[in-house]
Amino acid sequence: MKPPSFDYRRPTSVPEALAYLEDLEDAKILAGGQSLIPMMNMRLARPHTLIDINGIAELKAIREENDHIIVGALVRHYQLQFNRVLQRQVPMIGQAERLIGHEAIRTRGTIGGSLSHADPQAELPVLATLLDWDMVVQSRQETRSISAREFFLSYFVTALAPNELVTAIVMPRQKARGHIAEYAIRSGDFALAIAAVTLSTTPTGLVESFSVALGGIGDVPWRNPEWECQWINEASTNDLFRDIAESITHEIEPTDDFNASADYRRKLVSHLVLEALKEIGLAQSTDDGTLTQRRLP
Amino acid sequence: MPNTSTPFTGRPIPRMEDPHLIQGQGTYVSDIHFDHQWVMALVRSSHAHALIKDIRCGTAAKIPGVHAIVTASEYPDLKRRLPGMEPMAPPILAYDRVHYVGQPIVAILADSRYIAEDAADLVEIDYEPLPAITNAEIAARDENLLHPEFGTNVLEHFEKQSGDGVQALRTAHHVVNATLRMGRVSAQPMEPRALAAQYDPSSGELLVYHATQSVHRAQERIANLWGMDPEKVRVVAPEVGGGFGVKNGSYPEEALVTYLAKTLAQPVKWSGDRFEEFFGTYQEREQVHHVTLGFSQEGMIVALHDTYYQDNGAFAGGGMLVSQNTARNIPGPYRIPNLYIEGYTVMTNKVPQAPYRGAGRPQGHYIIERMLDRAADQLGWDRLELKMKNLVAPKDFPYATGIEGVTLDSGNYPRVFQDLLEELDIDAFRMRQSEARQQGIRLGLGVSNSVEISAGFGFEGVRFQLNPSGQILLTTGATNQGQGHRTALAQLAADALSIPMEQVTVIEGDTGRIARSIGTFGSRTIIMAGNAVRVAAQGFIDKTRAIAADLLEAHVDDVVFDNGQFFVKGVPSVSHDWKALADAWQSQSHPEWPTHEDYFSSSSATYGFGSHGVIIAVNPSTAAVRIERYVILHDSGRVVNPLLANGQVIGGAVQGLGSALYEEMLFGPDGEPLTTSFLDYRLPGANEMPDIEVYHRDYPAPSNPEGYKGVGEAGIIPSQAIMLSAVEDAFRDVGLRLDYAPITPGRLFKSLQERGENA
Repeated sequence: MKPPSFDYRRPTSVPEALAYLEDLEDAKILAGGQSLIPMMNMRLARPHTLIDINGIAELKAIREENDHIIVGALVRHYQLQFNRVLQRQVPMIGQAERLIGHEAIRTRGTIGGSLSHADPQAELPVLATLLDWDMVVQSRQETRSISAREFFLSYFVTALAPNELVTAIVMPRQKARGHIAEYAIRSGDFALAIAAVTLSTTPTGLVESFSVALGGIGDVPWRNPEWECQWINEASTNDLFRDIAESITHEIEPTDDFNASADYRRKLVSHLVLEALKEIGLAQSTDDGTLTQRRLP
Repeated sequence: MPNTSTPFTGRPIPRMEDPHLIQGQGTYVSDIHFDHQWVMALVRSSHAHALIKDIRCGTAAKIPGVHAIVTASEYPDLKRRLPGMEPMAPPILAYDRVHYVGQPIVAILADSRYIAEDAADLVEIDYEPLPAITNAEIAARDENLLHPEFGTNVLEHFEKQSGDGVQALRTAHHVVNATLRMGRVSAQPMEPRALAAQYDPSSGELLVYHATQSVHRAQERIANLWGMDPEKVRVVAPEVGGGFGVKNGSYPEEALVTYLAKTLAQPVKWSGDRFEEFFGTYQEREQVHHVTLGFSQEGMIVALHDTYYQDNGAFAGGGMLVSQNTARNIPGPYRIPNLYIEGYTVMTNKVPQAPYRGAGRPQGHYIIERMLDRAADQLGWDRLELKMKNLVAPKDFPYATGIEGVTLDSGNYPRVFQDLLEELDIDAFRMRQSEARQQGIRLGLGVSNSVEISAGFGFEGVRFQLNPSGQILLTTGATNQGQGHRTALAQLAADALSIPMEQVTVIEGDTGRIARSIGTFGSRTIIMAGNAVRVAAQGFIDKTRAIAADLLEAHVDDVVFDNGQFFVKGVPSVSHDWKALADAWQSQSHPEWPTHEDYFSSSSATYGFGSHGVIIAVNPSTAAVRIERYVILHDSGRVVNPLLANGQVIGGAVQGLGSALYEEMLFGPDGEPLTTSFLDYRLPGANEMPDIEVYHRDYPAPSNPEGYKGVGEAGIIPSQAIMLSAVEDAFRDVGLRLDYAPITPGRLFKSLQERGENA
């Protein structure tokens, strides 16, 4: 469990990092190292060079711009969890963060690292898909923006070209109430299934907006806007929530492995979607302005 | 004069070793660095069963910093069979055929582990795959042989019978059958296995630092294997980070490191990594039992019949002992007048089995406890009443279980069990359970009784030495892997010599410091070494009385030792303590300090007892099991240190709950292990575990002078039985039956699905 030898660079600016990415063969970005380093130790990843971006100050900022929050790629999980702006503008992040690994992992791991790593069992790719985040991606030639639903291509595969770096994530302000629920065998484990839901209603109690993203059930976060549309203008009741939780089981083809069968994951998804909807419904009915997180037994 | 009015023994004294260990000042094998040492990495088989056609090491040898690439064809000594693995031992390095994924084939010696792993990557091995045998019952049919030269896959078939055996089942009024299974588990001590060895060609001495539970057994194996005088092989166990049985066996790495250090006259070190703990360290528990239990009309057990198969992995070794010990534990604390048990220990293409904490005790108890639950459910009796009425009662002692050498001797099982039931308040729980069920919350109760059979063979010794200023050095060969013996033995020594504990230093696990030892395993150290302290202390005092006699200008026969003081009988006003003796000895310029070494031997086992109860909540939507409460009533015999004893019992229970709820080594159809990191092999964490309550009901053991009983394995015995019992209880109304441990969420989901319970 020792990595093969590798070269190491520590740029202090984005252009310097991009130049390394362009010029060096088989280089890999080192951010928080919470996935890459174990994979190197297991010799599953064998980069020739590590480009350590931890010294690039401009990647560490969180700022508000009009209706958006722009989060630097190097912002760490614990900062996402406790940042005031995010707590107010995208409260689902703080809720999701509590489900991510353990404190030691959250102290080092970064948002850019988590999204670029594209583990389909991770929470942030699910939120990115649910909340329509855009990845700001730079290469020496250009800066472009990739929407979450175009960013995740397969297990650990993204739309990033080898010479590109995620420098920031653009998040719309969260307009609807949301809830993220997951089931992991032990606390801190990768979840067998994750369900993230947003829901808003009209003053008369009809569904105004509704979205669901799922994790842990396939190669990329799952979302289906067409399926979401059919629930608009329905009365937001527990009966509807149960219909939605039942309906989604017919939409998905979950992974089947030795940790959980496809049937088990389907059942978990249904349960987690229902739980998330009920939490949102409860919060709306009491309107206490907080998002509660209930621990599953 | 020291205050010795309150003995140290029996008090909850915090571990003396902790400040040192917690601050990272402990020296483990991986902290040992010999000058110019070569570090070993291994190329292990990627096939469960295959012929080796070719091994090509050419490019690996060219990497700078690589010193040797070792195969059995280049070093034919390494074709020798590993000692202690009879009757079917592996060669030290596989050369013509491999029998499990992880079996060592090539050893690489390099300047660092990094370089050695780089070289390992470049070794090319051509295999011709053979069909892998991964199921013990199928393997026992001998349709395909793992080792054609051995003639059969069955390592051992044994029968144990008492009373009228299986014939007695005919007289039973009720008969209950089940097939019960246990999955494979891996011990995963925090510190992986490791060795470092240095050979001095001029003196012919081999120094071996070894993360082992038994330095003297390792010394004997190494000396025998390489034809050395045991006196020339010194084995030292420095700090050892957990053993749980798997650091007690014979392994290829031990043979390799010692051979290469000696043959190449070069210090060699191997620190196993976490992968190697999964691929190369022996595993346990995997068995399948076909059981029949017969009852009288009144619910008294008439007879038990069990035919079982243990998946022993690819070779023999300690697993055969586990299989035998399973049989010894099947009756547990219950009266079973007629027994017929037959066991098959069978080879398959997996890592060998060897004793892991419990070593047959959990397996045996799993059978009787699950069968009593099953019988109660099937025959409409109350589970708790059925267990109560079949427990061995105090008036039955000594109670011969019908298994040779197992005679229960002490305690009060029905009373302790009754106390557990009162502590759990069964009536209140049943009410709460049915109320919760109305709201879709499923609560379950499991109870389980267990006997811990400990020691009962061999010896253990200690050596006292008087040191400057009256310090006392106590050495023992029984090594510590985290149990806290350094504290417990110091308590006993301090009391025996009437001195403060600070005056005692305990050093364990060094063949250079004490002549003989068996080692730390099977919950034996306090029973054996603890009694040895008392025996040796008396001899030590007798010897040192001579020094006092000199000082007191008296005849040695007139000198008495009392409360830390030596004085002439009847004249306590003129006395000398240990410091005075040491000062006198030092002033006389003796070449060596006075010592006394003595041993305690016993062939009588001890029988601890425990009643465990658990209350769980199951979420039927996720199949998640949460432990609400875990209560243990425990007979530990005479307790030296309640903190340490409770630590053992609680630690055992937690480790066992891991193997009841999460942990299982899974293998693919070709025998490839699927769970080879902590991502998929889930050890229990603090968040998953309740605060375990331990209440003592201690009855001194009649079979040894100090009354000690084993505690090291007590906690882990009932875990799998009790958890399956509780989960079934949570779904009692739908008749859930569980026959496989662990009950993981995925497996529980499937069982519920089959019952139509979670659609």
